[in-house]
Amino acid sequence: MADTAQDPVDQLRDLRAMLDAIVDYSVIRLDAQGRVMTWSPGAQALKGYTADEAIGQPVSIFYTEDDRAAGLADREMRTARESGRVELEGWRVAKDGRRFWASVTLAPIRDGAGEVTGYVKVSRDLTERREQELRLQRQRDEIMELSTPVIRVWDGVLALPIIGTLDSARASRLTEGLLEGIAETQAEVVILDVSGVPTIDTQVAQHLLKTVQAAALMGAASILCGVRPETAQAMVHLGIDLGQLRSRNTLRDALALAMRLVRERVRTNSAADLLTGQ
Amino acid sequence: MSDTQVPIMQIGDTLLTSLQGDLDDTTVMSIEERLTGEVARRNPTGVLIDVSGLTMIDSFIARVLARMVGMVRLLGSSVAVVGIQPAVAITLVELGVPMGHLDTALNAEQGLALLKRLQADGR
Repeated sequence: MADTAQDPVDQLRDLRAMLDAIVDYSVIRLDAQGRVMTWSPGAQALKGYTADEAIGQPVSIFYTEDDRAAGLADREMRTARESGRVELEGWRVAKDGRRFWASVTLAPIRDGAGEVTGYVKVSRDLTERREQELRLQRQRDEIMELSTPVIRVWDGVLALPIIGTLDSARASRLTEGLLEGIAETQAEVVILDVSGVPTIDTQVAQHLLKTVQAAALMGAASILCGVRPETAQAMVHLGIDLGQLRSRNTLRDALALAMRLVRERVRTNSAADLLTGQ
Repeated sequence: MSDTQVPIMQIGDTLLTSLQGDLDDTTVMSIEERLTGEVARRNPTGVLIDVSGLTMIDSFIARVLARMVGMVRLLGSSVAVVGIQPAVAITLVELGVPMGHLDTALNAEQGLALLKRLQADGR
């Protein structure tokens, strides 16, 4: 092969040229103490320093002040040494003070005796992707918020219309929202309207059941409403035991039951007042 | 924790006690001793256990709660647990601690009404 006959100096030059051609990534070498040994056009594009400015500097100059104070660069090098490689993401700072979200891979370079003589550090700017992810997460949160509204329909009665498919993230969000709603309004009865849920499988049923149990522990009674015929069949076939859960066909019937329950409680309250002589 | 830090109050013929965070075995023993002693001495018709001060719960505290309820019932009083916080309720359900037999209410006021209903049922 032609390569084997090539002069080592040529080989190195080729390698150098190859690294310099990578502009989207910063590829640099550090010595064992974490000082910058080589620089590349990609590194300059990302971090803003020229080779003259960067070479010989400790790698921590690219870190935020807090991370520098916490000795993050040394910790990362230790992890790389111990586990052979480390991949991470974090804030880094360019020469002009601009912060960017970097994806970093750090790997140790060892000599023949296995001693660590330096590190290779490959970084990439992921600021845009991160912002997109955050935006997406925010939108997802907003949709989640909108899709699990807790409505105060009457004094002491909350209604929770559930619309769309319930996955476990949404179900736990729903449980939390409802329980917080109970604590906030001191509601005694909650109506879970599932007429907008296309399918109720074992998992969803378990979630609903847990919600009902948690609400009961807080002292609020639950009424299920809007169970579809196929759902009723499926739930019984699946052997889902909803225990003492009250269920009504329509929201109207559920509301009527809820108000009766609240009235009954009020009546025993006033009876209790008479008994205690208040 | 000394006895004075385990408040037991009497309102009419009802006793009110509260569980608060940082419970260890010794504290629990002292609460149980004090509560059973007071229930036996004052013979209340009902006991309210207020847990609104508990923001988190583990299986140990859950067992403690179930134990206290059992003891009071054995001494012939109705008992209701009031003020379970949302996070605590979720944890109890997730832990799978059998709490179905607990009578619960949102707050002390509704707890008093619940006790009356329980007594009317003979429980």
